[in-house]
Amino acid sequence: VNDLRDAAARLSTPREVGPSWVATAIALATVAALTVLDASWDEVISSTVVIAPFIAALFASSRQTAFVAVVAAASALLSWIWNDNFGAADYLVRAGIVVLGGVFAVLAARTREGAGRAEALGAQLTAALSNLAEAVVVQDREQRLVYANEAAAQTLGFGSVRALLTAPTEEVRDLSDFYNEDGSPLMPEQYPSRRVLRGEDPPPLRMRVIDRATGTERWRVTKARGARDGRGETRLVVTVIEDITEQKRAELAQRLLARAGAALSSSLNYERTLQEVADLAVPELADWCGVSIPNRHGLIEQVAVAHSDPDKVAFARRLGERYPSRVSDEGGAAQVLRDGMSQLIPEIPQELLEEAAVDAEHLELVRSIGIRSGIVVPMTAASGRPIGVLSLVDAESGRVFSEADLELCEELGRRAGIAVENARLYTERTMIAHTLQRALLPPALPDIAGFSLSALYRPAGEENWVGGDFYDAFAVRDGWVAVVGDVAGRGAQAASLTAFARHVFRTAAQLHDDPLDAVAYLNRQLYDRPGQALCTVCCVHLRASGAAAEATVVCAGHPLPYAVRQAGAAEMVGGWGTMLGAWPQGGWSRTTTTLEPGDVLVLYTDGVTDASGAEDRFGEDRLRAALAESRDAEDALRRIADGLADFEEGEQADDTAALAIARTEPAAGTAPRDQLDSAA
Amino acid sequence: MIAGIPDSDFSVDVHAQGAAQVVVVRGEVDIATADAVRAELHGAFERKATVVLDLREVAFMDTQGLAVVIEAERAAANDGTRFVVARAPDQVHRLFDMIGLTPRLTIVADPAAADS
Repeated sequence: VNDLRDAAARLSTPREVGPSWVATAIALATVAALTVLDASWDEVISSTVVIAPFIAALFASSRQTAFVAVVAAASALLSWIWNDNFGAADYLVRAGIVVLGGVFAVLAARTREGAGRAEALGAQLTAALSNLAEAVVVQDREQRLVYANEAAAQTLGFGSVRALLTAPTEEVRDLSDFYNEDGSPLMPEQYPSRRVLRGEDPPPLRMRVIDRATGTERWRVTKARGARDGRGETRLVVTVIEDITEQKRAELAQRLLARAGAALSSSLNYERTLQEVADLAVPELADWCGVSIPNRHGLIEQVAVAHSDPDKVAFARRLGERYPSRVSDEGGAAQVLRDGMSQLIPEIPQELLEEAAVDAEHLELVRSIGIRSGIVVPMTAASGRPIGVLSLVDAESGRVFSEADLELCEELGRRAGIAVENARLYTERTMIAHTLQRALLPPALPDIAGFSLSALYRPAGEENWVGGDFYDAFAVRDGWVAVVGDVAGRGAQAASLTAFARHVFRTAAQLHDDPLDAVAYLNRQLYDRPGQALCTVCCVHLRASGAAAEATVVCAGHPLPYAVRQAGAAEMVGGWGTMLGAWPQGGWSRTTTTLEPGDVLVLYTDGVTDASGAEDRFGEDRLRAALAESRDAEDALRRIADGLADFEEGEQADDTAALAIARTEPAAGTAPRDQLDSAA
Repeated sequence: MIAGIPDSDFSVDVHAQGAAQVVVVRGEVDIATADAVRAELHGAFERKATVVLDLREVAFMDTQGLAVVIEAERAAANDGTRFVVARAPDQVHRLFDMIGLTPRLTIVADPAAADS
């Protein structure tokens, strides 16, 4: 824009000789001539007055000036005629001279004006074009260059406009390789100038141009328009070439990083993600992009490779498998992995390939790729430690990487590295968590003759398998114990406390005949643990008693269980007791109830009653209503699950567990003692 | 936010009342909010004053909330600080009964009575 403004300022000053100066010069010359001819003073003055305006009109640059000059001459002549005593013939001659002079003056002025305008326009155009930052070339119908500005010479790789204008067309074209935006080679018939000559009106064309000699990549937008003659035929083609390399680079960097960021954060499957990142880099940033990560066997594994041609991708994979890089290799990816320093080799010398090749066949294969330029950057973890490398290669495009490309690749490497590290950590930790959780999961419920047991277990949270709720059922000396518990806290700490409480309680219940002793023992164990280890339990000691069974319920800080008798109403059983782990002593009570065949006892955690609905909590009343008419253990739990499903809104907040125990027909000839032995 | 119920009506404020620090809790104390109550109580105990936990406007408390009250009760017992609880509404107070917490607490109906 500034260039244009300068040019406009220069053009606005007209280059013409002032008519007043010319008139003065002519007048003086006339005076001198008449003086020499010995004319009278009267004649000198009058002649000068008449002739000077004519002469001035001849040199005048505009019609107005000439007109004024002629009028001035005419009035001067009239006054002269009246004041003189020449003969009639003299008057006619003089009048004729005046008229002829006037006509010539006007004609001369018009011609002069036209020529001056064309000249000024030409000068204006030339000045404007030569000062344009955009390259402008004008070609004739035979595609010969007839005009080029400075920028054009520079853009097309010539030292001067003259050198460009005298160079043959082929020479100009062969200096570079031209590609479309999508990477395909640009055909000469696609050039906008050619299309204009074919009578088309082509849109601006974006192209990538690679200088064959230096491998420098530039981006251009080319626009062409035709100049037509009176018959509407295209005589000249004006082509404007704008260099948009900087803009294109910034765009590419921004787009690449944004897309890579999106890909990297979209998935924890990092091998797939890295392939996406590699795909993003070709063909705009590089012809080839590969990602390699060292494995535990000391090999640098190629986890992703991208090229716009799938056959070449397959070739590179085979090459990588056949000739794997090792972390112990000198130079290349191994070197980058060791020192974390990125490498930019604008022009890869043949010797380097020879050095890197394992054998002659390897060298041949590598050479067949036609590598010209290469970048290797580390993928760095948050700590700065290289965990892999990103390799980019320019081959068949003939392009050569620049410092700007290196910077972009480094940024890409940093982002990919952090994403890979996160994905790995997540995968490893999930695996560890799942392995541990599997060990902490509630065991399968035992088959207990004369009873049927059913459990519901829903830990809160996606990756959580084990929560703070637990249940267990196991044989004791004179029957069975079933327990449901809840530890305070969350996450891994709660899970480990859950496992502790379950195992301690099981051991204590098997060692003590009285469940009250088992509860007191667990309380002490929890209380003695460092930190606050709080737990609530509800346990039931089951003993067969004829067709029925006796169930002794002990609750410690836990909601009381419900008994559903003969598919009737649900009623609470038992009495409250002190929460475990809070104080060294507590108060707990035993409540014994009889379970007839068909009766169901339901133990649950507060995850059931505390479940959130649209407006309030599930609560004891809804639970009691849901459990009413439960026919057996499974039916009771289904009713709870259905009731919660209908009621709950949003994400499940708390762990939920429930255990239902139904008395079925008594088992014949199976003594509890035998069951304990078989379980032990 | 882990809990399914919005905790927009939860709040915990502390003010001095004579020599006492009064921690006023409103709304639901659960896994999402218990830590905020714990932090305020901890601060109140640091100031070595009588600590009053005003639960009169607590609508709901789960195991995590109960754990905070138990922790405060134990902390008070350990360092000899006076710890007073202004009684929670019945549905919450019932939990204190259920876990055996009530007899271990000094419970008042009105926090203004805690000074005496």
